[in-house]
Amino acid sequence: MAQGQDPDSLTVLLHAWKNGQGEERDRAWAALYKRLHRLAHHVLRERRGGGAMATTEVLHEAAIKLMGLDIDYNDSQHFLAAAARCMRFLLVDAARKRVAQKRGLGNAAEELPEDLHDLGARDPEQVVAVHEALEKLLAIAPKQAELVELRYFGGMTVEEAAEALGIAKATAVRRWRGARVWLFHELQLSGQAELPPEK
Amino acid sequence: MTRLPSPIETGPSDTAAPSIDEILLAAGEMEDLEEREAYLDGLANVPPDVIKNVRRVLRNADRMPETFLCSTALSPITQPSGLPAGVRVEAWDLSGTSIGRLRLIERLGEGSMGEVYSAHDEQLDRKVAVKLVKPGVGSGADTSERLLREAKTLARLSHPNVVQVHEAGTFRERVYLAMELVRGKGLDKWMKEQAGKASWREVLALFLPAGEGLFAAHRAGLVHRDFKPANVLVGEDGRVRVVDFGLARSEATPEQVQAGILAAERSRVEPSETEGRLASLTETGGILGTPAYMSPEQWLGKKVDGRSDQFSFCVALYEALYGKRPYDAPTRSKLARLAIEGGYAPPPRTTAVPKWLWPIVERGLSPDVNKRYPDMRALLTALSQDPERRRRKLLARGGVAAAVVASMAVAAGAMVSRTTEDPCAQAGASVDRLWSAAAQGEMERAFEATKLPYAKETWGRLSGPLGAYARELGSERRAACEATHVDKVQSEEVLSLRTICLDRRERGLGVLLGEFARADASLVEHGAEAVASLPRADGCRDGEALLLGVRPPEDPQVAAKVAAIQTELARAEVLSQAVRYKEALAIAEPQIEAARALGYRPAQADAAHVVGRILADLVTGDEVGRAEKLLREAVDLAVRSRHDVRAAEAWVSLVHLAARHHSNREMGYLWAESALSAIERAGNDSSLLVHAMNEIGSLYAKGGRTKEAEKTLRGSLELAEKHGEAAVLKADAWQFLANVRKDLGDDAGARAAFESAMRIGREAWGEGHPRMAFVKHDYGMFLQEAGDFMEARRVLNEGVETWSKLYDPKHFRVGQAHLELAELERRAGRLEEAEAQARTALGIYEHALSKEDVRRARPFTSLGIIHYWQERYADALSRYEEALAIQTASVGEDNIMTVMSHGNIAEVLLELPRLKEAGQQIALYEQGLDRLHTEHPFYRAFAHKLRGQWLLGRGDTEEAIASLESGRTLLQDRPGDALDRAEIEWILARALRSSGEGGEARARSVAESARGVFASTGKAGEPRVHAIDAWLGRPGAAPGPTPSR
Repeated sequence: MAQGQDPDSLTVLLHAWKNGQGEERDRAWAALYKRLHRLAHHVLRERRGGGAMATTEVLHEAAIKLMGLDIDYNDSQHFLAAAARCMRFLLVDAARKRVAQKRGLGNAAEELPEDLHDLGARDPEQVVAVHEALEKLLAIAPKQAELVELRYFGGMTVEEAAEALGIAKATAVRRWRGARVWLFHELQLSGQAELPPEK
Repeated sequence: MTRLPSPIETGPSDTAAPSIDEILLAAGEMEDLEEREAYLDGLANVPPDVIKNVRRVLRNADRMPETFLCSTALSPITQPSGLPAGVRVEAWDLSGTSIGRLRLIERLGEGSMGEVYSAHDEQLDRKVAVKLVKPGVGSGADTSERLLREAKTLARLSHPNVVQVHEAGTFRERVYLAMELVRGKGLDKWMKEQAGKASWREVLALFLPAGEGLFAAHRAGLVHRDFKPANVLVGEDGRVRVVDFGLARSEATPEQVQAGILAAERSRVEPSETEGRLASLTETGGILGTPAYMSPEQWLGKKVDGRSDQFSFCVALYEALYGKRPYDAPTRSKLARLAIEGGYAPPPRTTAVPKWLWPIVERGLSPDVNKRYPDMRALLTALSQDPERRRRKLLARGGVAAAVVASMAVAAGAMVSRTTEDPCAQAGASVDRLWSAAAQGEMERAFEATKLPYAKETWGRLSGPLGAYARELGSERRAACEATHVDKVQSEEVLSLRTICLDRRERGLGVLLGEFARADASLVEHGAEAVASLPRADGCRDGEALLLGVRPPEDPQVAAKVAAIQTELARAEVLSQAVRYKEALAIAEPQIEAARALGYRPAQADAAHVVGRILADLVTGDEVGRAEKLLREAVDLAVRSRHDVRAAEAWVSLVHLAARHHSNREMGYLWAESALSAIERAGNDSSLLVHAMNEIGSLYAKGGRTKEAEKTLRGSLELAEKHGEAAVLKADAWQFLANVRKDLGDDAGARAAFESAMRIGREAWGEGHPRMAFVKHDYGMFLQEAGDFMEARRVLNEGVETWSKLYDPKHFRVGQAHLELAELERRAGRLEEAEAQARTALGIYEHALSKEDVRRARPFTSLGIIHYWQERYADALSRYEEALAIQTASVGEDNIMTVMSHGNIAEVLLELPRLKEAGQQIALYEQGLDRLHTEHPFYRAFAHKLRGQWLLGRGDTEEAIASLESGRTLLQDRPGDALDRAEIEWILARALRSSGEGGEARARSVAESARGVFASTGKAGEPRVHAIDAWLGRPGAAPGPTPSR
């Protein structure tokens, strides 16, 4: 990409987010997030109906569309990573909104019996649980955490995630295996993962 | 938290022992078990119990579901992996490509309609066949839509003689169908191999089931349009299945037909080659189908229906029976003419096929559709009436003479026997005994003994329908008896089937009444649901259906054991209705083994269904996998034993499972379709259908497909109304519907639905019933959100009343209801009342909840907010601090509630004003949001508000304005947060004024905007309205009008 580009072009923002430091990075992220979010909602409206799960697909669709427009292939991987992070926030925010009413007053509905309380809302627990577990994992093994974010929130295959992170596929497969075990254990502790019955 | 080096990159170090997390991550990477063991053995400085723990976790993780983290949050990109986006693969062979969760493995073949692949369904871990329809099959723009629509209909169809279509969709603009992978061969191959050597009985043995498959499809509204031997698969399992429904298009314009026939005439073709030449015909006209089997109406481009398939069926049957085709023509046009004119050849004289078959086949070949059989069923019945066999059967039973005598007796005998003794006088006696006055008294006393305030009313409500049910069962028994013994219009066999069917209902009633006679509180609470789930008393009338359905066990000993199993299962069902799942399971579980030991499939299906259903209801979710397995087993066993009703119920239970447990939700949508078709197959029982639609609606709602949920529930209610279903079913649906509409933002619709839920709920449960309190709770919360405080207060108060009667007044739920009222009063501006309610709640929370319970913070927060609005800032501060202390102790800092408390405290400190401390709390709030990655506009806007106010206090007017503006922007277009936006605007207005430099005009307009919002909130906003008016220099100005919202 040539120099002297619009400072708000996707390419510039992506580079700033991926390689930048401190405030510059934050600013780039804020701008990216806004654009992704808007884009996602825009496509969503076109499709009519939806919900967060559809937003994911939509985000990918938006990402793919945009990549065809003005960024090259490497940047597109960054874009997908940004999309994954954006998606994570969308999902987690939506989930949290269900869990806590504003001003710290919990939503009274959460204590109603299960068959009554969450009509009209999808189960937010697992999304939040994975998100929280990832926070923990970030402190222990940041590379693994990043990989899981791309896979779980970004919907990437191992190959795509490896490419986005610039690591070998074998490495990604290994890390993914380890991270899955760790997360499975972590989520089991919080009741968000279940074992199949013993054969 | 400190960052540790990643264990993978460094490995365990000798100096510091790795943490359990690091060990898990490292060991989890190792696939090779020996490598893993060696690694664990080699760990120094790690306590043995940690290693032991790790081993346990790893053992568990080895059993983790394949899908864990792979399919939960996202659907994958359909673009094949590894390819740059935007690059489209148009390889001929798509093996290796994925369509959603289907991975295409191998191309099996290609026909005129498209290609078939074997594929692996990665989610369900099963092999399927995927047919990708060729682009441009058929003609016209609507084709792929029509194909898709029909394929989806087909996916809902479940019949043993129709290849099961699992799903249909589009992939790269082509319609695809995923269906069961059948190992076997086409009927055309079979016919070729037999080369006319198969007996006519063998031929019929294959064609009759194929005809059943066609008929099932016709009933679902589908026409095959291209029935031919090649489209009938004879599986290695011996089952016959019809494939490729509706892929052919036949509605063409007359011009197209002409063109087609002309083109056909030009190209002389042998009938046997027709299939290969099909493409050329497609190019010239709109006709599709295989010429040799095409019906006259297809040739003529007229509308086709099931009778067109009947024609094709008979052509194929003719060919199989007589070893040649009925129409022999060198060209297509001749072929067409023969079909249209009825120019079929008579069967060869030398045939071994009995003569009685020919007129039947001939009628199916009639060029005039109206002269054919009215439907496939009629044709199949005719084909199965082998006169020879019928004669032998009658002889074996005692001769033709006996049959004749019996039929004459129908007229004369009835009169004779009436005059003597009534053989059916005692038919209903057993039911009468169940519902004796003594039994009723016992039940009533048991209800009252629970001391529930609503027990007496509930018994009064239930005894009517129970008595009516008992009487109805009694008269059904008498009617069944009379049909055989008095009117003599029904065979002994049908009577015995009806009796077995009624026996089971009577046992079910007996079990329920027995449990009512020793009812506990929870059974009284759920009694209405238990009564509503009794199967219809008139469900045993259809003798024909009974003959076609489940065969009762022949051995009387087995029959007795089956009856015992059914009784136990009925008891388990009643107990699970009463939410006594553990007892229910303890009774139901052993029945699985008992039924298996008998080897009687219908009972096995029953047992698997009941246990699966109870497991699905358990809240824990530990047993979801097992529940699914059992329910699927129940479906399978039920289908195999023609237990249609049970199959339908098991499908519905699967939907229920999916609605309750999110991991099954996607499957749930597929199960829902199967459930609907199974219910149809089982005779469209309206209660079952209503029940199913309620479950499906709930599934949609939980899956976020709110619009579909609304539609389904509405449909369910219309149906329930039409068929006079039990009030409990309707009340449930209305409550669902109301909540769904609330989520859709349809306030008027939600209000109407809540009103209906209240009205029908009263009818179903009675005013004082706990279920009514839940309805009131939902309604009250809705009213409050809609701004109708008066009505909300009334409804919520009723709820509190109910709870207080039902529970100890110190019960947590009562406290919760008070807290909701406190919030309501605060919003309504009645701060004194709000405070009183919150204090009551506080007392109850302290009493009812343990010290560690984070919910204890809520009344404190609530009081804090009320004091803040009362401008009692010091009091507000202490309440908030108490809330914070509880939250920190029980959930720590990384929780949104804790973080919010910092914000709340900051807000009060700013008013006091204690700027320095406020600054610290604001920082804690902001950091908390960052840590939790909370981008929610409300939280962020609140941060901007606090920061702005703080800056203003320090005199940094310019920065304060910037921060407040950001907060205001975040809440733009969020009607739910209007009040918070107004708060920000009010501060912003004052900041703008003090900034000087021409900010006054802007300041006034921002203040007006805030005033508008405050004025619209009625009493709650009054103080603010007054303050703003004073600030604007409008002394004594009255607050604006106060609409309800």
